[in-house]
Amino acid sequence: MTATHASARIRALGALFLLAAPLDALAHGFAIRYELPIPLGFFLAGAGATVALTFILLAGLARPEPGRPLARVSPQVPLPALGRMLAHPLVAAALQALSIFIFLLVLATALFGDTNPFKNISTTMVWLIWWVGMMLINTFIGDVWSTLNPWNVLFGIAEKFACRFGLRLSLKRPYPEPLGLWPALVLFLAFAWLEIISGEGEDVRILGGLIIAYSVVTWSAMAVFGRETWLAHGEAFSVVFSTFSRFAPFTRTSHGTLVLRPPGSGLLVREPVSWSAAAMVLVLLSSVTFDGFIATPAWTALYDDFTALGQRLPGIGGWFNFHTLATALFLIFPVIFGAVLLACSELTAELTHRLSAGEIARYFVLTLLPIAIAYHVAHYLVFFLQTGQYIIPAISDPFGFGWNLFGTAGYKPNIDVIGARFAWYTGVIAIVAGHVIAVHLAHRMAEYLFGSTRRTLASQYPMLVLMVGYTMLSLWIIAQPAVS
Amino acid sequence: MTGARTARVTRGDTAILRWTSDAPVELHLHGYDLAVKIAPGAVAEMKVEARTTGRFPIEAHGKNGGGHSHKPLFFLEVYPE
Repeated sequence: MTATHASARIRALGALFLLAAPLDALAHGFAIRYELPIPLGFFLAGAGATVALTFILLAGLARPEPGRPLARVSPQVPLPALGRMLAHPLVAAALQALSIFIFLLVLATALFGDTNPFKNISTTMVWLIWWVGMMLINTFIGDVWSTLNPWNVLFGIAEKFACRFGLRLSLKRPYPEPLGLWPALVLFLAFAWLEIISGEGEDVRILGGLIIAYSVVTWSAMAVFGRETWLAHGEAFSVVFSTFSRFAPFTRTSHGTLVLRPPGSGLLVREPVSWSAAAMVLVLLSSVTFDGFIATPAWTALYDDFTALGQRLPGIGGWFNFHTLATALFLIFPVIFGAVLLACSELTAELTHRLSAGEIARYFVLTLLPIAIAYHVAHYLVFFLQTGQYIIPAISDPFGFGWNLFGTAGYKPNIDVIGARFAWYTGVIAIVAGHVIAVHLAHRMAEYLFGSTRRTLASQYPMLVLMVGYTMLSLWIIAQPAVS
Repeated sequence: MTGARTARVTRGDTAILRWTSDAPVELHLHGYDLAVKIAPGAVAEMKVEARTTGRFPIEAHGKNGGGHSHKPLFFLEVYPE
């Protein structure tokens, strides 16, 4: 299209505009996405590769070793020297000091700094460096969060301090086992709702208030149940990040030895995960997908129909708004995911006659995680590289008061940092790779559970259909033009 | 006005967008960070040298100059060659 042709067309469109847009006073705009949807060719290539590779991997299953023990399939390379180095008290102390510093800086800037989200370091630090960056580190390297978690570190310091005076900071009440991971799940739902639906996370003062509120909740719970118990059951981010870190290649054994393992092998389990753990994984999967879905034209069409319906209903029509529909869908998504997983598990149960649908679902649910991880990478890579650059001016002027500590305060993010084509290739390759890993893990899980050749092969079909469907959904979402 | 319009150009093009409005308003092209004020009756011009690929929303500021409205009015898509 030549420049003059383009301008003539745009001019015609522009003249149609009668601008009566209502004013919305939200300082919205920090999380604007600039990536182009993947073209149809990329979508078809990705979809084709997904299906083809699924069949190839299935054929490779034709002669599995019956009842292959998981330990043989997931080799672990011990790294004692590196492990000792990383566990050195000075290293831990340095990392924890850094974590506390950043935590207090974010809190201070959120409460007292400039309210413009582009000028305040708290927004970039929380939504990009931490929520995207730390997540990626925990997923692709190892569970670094468990060391850096400021709530853990600060409570631990307070405990040691109190110990000096002979005081015990924690009541160490026994944690009611039926509660499982449900507290973490509920807290994470609240967080995800805030991040995806409310948009208030861009308001720095509200962000500061929420950090305080969460700290109060976390430390109170630690005081009642004990620091480590709460971290394992109720501290939302520890539970979420440690779930993702099952994918990571570096981990510590129960003896504390640092080992290197094949990525994803940590998602294979010898026992079915608990119901609350399975629900947690489903919430993770569905919130990642929902985050993408809510930016598609399909969502906009749904929303338009919904509000149009509300306008025809007197009285309760006011409830037919964005928050109602988005929240309802947000809560229904994990239920739908769970229902589909249970349906496929039921089919597998009937084909194998060995386990119940519930057990099968709780063995396989973790193997779906690579698909969500891949989508997360495809969806956030461009955003992270573009908007993440705001950390550069922010470190020189964290409060937005006009400082210039490191000389970088004038830096303007370069949105040219990643080209459209590179982003398309990376996104599609990541999603297909995630699918391949998920299918491979499902095969290993099936071999472990069902042993014999025919049974293993037969058991796979429902789960493979599920995975292909989930991957297609991910590809479809990144092929949609983002509508705010 | 419902829905948003999208215009597609190729990297290297120069896009000239002309706007009219019946109320005073300021438009902001995100990404390229260009702004244009439109007075009622007049035609305002926004010239964009499309050097960066992406999908860039155009949002409106009201006459109070407050925050953006939640919905983008227009999208400029710049595709690679």
